[in-house]
Amino acid sequence: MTSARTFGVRCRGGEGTLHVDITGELDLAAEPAVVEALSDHLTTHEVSRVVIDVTAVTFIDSSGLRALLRCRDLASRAGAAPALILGGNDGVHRLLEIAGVTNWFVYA
Amino acid sequence: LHRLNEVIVRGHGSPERYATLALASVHPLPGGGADLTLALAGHPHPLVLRRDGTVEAIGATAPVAGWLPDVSYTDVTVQLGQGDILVMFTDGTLDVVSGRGSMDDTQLRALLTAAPGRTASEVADTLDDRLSGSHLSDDAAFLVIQAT
Repeated sequence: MTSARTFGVRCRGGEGTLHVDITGELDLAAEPAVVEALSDHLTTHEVSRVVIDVTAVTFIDSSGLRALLRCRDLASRAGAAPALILGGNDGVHRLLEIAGVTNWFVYA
Repeated sequence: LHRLNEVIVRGHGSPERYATLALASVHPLPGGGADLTLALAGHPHPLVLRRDGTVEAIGATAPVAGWLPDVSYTDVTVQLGQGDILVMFTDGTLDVVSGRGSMDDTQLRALLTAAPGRTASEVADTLDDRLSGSHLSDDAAFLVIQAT
C-alpha cells in the first residue's frame, strides 16, 4: 500500500523568536528533517525562544514524539527557551499525555 | 522502573532514545484471583476486562524511560478477581483498532466488551483476528492474562 507523504517544516523569524511550523505526518520519515531544520537555524542565528507549532500535524507517532523532544533539547542547549503550540491538536495532546511528558513542555 | 530509567539514560552515549514500558508483577491470592502491581513509563494504559463485562484502564501515567534522569514512577495495585482478564498492548495495537495515530482506547474497549468469549485465549483470538485483517503501520503486540 502506498500513500502520499504529506509533511512540511518551515522556520520563520530570524533573530529572537524562531517559529518552527510543522505540518502533516510527523513520523520516522519526518523526524530528521525537523531536527535538521531547527539545528541549522540555531547554528546561524541568535535565538532566544523557539516556538514549535504542531497545530497542523495530522499524525504523530513515537518518532514524532522523539522529534519534539529533540527540538526541545536542542533549543535548551542553544540557550533558547522552547515552547509548543498545540492549537487544539488532540492527537498530539493524547500522545504527550500517554507518553507522560505533557509537563516537559511549556505551551505558547 | 526508576533504576531502569537511570540505566538507559546513563548507559548510552546519545541521549536521543527512549522506550515505553508497562511493567507488571502478579501475585496469585490463596482464595483465587491475584494482586496485580503495575508501573507505566509512557505506555498506553493496560485494560482489565472484569467478569461482569466492564472494562477499566489501569496504571498511573509517567514519562517514557531513558530520556531524562530522576523521573519518578508510581506503582498501582489492583485486584483481579477469578476470571478477570488483563490486556497489555503496544501503541501499534491501538493504531490498528482505533485508527492510525488516534491513541484512543475507546474502540479497543468496545472490542473487548463485545468479545464473544471470556477466556484469555478467546480474547487473544479476537484481538489477533482484528490485527491480522488489517494493514500494520507499526509493530503491534499484546499480552492477555487471566486470573484463576
